[in-house]
Amino acid sequence: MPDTVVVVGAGLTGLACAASLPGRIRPVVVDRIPVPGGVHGWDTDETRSAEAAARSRGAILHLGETATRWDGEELLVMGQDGVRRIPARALVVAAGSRPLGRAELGLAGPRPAGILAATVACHLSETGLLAGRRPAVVGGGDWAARAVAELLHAGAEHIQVVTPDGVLRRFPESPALTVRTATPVAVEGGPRVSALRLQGGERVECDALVLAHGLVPLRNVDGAVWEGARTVYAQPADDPATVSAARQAGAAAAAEVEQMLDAA
Amino acid sequence: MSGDGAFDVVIVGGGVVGCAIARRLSFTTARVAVVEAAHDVGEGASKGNTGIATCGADCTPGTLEAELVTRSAPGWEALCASLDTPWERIGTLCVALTEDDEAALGHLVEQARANGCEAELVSGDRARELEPLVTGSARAAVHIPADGIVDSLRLTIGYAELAARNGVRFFLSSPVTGFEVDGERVTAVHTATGTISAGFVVNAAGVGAGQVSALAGGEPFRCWPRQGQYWLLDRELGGRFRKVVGGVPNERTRGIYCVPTTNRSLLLGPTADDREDPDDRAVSRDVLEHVLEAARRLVPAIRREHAIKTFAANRPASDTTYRLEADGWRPNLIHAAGIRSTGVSGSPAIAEQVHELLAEAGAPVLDEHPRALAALEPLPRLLHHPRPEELFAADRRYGQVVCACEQVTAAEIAGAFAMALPPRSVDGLRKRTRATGGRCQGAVCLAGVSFLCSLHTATAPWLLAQSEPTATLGVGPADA
Amino acid sequence: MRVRSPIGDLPFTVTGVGREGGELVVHGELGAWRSQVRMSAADLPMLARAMRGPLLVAGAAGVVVLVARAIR
Repeated sequence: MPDTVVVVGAGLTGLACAASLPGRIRPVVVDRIPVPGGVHGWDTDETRSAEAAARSRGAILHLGETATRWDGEELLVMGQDGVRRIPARALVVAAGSRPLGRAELGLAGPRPAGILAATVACHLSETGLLAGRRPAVVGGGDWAARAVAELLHAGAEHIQVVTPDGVLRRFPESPALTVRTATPVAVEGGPRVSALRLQGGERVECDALVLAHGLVPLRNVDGAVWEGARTVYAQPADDPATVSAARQAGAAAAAEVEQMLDAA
Repeated sequence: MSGDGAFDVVIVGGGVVGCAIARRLSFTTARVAVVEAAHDVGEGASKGNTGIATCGADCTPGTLEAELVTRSAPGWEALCASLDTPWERIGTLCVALTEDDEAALGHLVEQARANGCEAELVSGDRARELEPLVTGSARAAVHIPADGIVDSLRLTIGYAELAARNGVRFFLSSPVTGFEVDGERVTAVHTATGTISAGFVVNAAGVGAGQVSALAGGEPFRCWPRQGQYWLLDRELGGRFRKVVGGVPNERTRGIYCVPTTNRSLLLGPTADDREDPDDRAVSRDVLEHVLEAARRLVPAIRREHAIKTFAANRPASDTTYRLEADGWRPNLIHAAGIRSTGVSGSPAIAEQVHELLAEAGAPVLDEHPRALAALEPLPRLLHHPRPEELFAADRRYGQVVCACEQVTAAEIAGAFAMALPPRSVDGLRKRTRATGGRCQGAVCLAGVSFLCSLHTATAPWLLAQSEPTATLGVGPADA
Repeated sequence: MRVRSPIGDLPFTVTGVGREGGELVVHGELGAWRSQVRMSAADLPMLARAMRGPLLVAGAAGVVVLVARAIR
């Protein structure tokens, strides 16, 4: 009876971890999205080959099911067929990351509508909603670049990019884009946001604010939020992210799990 | 929603006090309406507080506030069970960090006992036994075991929901613009959505109560916003708490508390700064830093990295605290105003008191409604549920987790939309289910949640509101 | 088929089509999720409007024709 190790997250990192685990371990990969690939997307060669590699290592994938609780021995998962309890010797959290939120950025001011995480702004654009005609985007990396592209595609007229860390991804040369390096400190407006205030006093007028700066790991499994019994975290925070960083993080997590199980 | 109708009692204000009164009156045969300026009940101080239902230990003895809060205290278990509202009587530790604090503890114990509340003076070590997260520098503390934590959003909505199911009409997005008067009596309430005739009016308008009295030609009094700023911290930290932890209250303010919530997130606050604009809900860095430092002095394990959200809310301060009486000039206008700090804690007994005042004034509130519901059907939640298989067997939608941070499922969301007072905005759904209110603040689920809101409310996505109708999620449809 | 949804771009695979009473039922898989699309005559105007709007499903033209034929 092989040892099971359960991996939360079927993106490139989680799949790489599953594919790198030694043969005596049976990897089970869980993801709340019904397709593999995470932010990299399901319809890419890298995802297809990562999934194939994981499956050929014997990994079982439970896609479209949400991991909710870990107690060091069993992972509780909810899905369309009900409750799934997965006994496992270890948990790997490879659930990706998200940009910093308002409180994490320390933005003062009221809480008007129209302040969205970049993840949300992108999803909403894809489903037909324009977040703002003159939005401000905070950030200079992957999520900022993606948000800028989605917003322009959805019909934004002018985007002000404010990046505290400088420009990490090249933005398109466009008259519809203004990029500056600055730190946001407060928002203004109500009922919808009307301006972003920067350190030094400058005001950037905007009709939406997209938060695309920094990366925080996503952790939603109770019992494994900041630390967990027999838990390894594999959430690379490179910005821009790269396929190789994801693969390395996955492989490193697999090695850590192997060490943990050998030491037990 | 057409505003025309005739009611025996019109309650102005759909906060925790107004909705508690609505519930109480819904057990009678009186025709009752609530008019609320905002788009939902519980949009003022009722949704921005620390969620403590105090047993009354630190109220000033002999005051009406002390009487009504202590009278409310024993009934919380039964009340919250009937309103499907989370509640736990976990107790408070008031921790003394300095000599001055320690000197004040004796007075705190006396005050508690004068109010009929159990209170024990404990050593620093004993305080840490009761709550291991309390700082090693704590010199002593007072333990008040009868204090509890309650979900104040669910409480307000629960009061309103039961009232609505019993026939109370809720007019939302209906700020009061004036009153009709005949002789010395108010006869009708004008709102932005229409006019309704009223046999009696209850003024539970929170920060706006002074203005309501003025519009009605009632006695002049002042209400102003007393702003509190708060931090909300991760469930992972709040889940480790056993007690509410606070400092030692003084005459001006109860001080900063560290409060585990009923879903085990952690609230820090509030501050107490008088403001002029009731809509001023801006947080500022220096005030928030002050709160964080005060909290960390009590519980060193608290760190900025645990923060999910910061917010501000305005409590209704007034020149008279607990103005519960018929107006001196308008005999059919009953005030339930100046409930500054203990709206949640006093709401059950305040509602009873207003019922008595209405009866004394001649309102038809004495006959019992034979078929009134006494309790709401509980809607089970997945988060922390001991038997998830049972949930799924009852409703397959428990298998679809929509908000992963708070583990809110499609079953709970559907349940919220099936209420008599369903959500009309994303924030309305958050108040009823906690969806989008967790550690990622909707970064992962807001798109999906807003899609569900859009479907259930039959609103185009670009018209969907995050809160008030003008606080739309987006600005328009995307280019095709 | 691809569906743009609030959680991203997803593949939709049709596994079966049936008629149940006055409804056309398309059984499918949205990635790993089983799903059903049930359509009746009342849905035709909405489908026609949707083809002009942002919620365009690739291949909707063929689906609308199929629906119209199946339920008339």
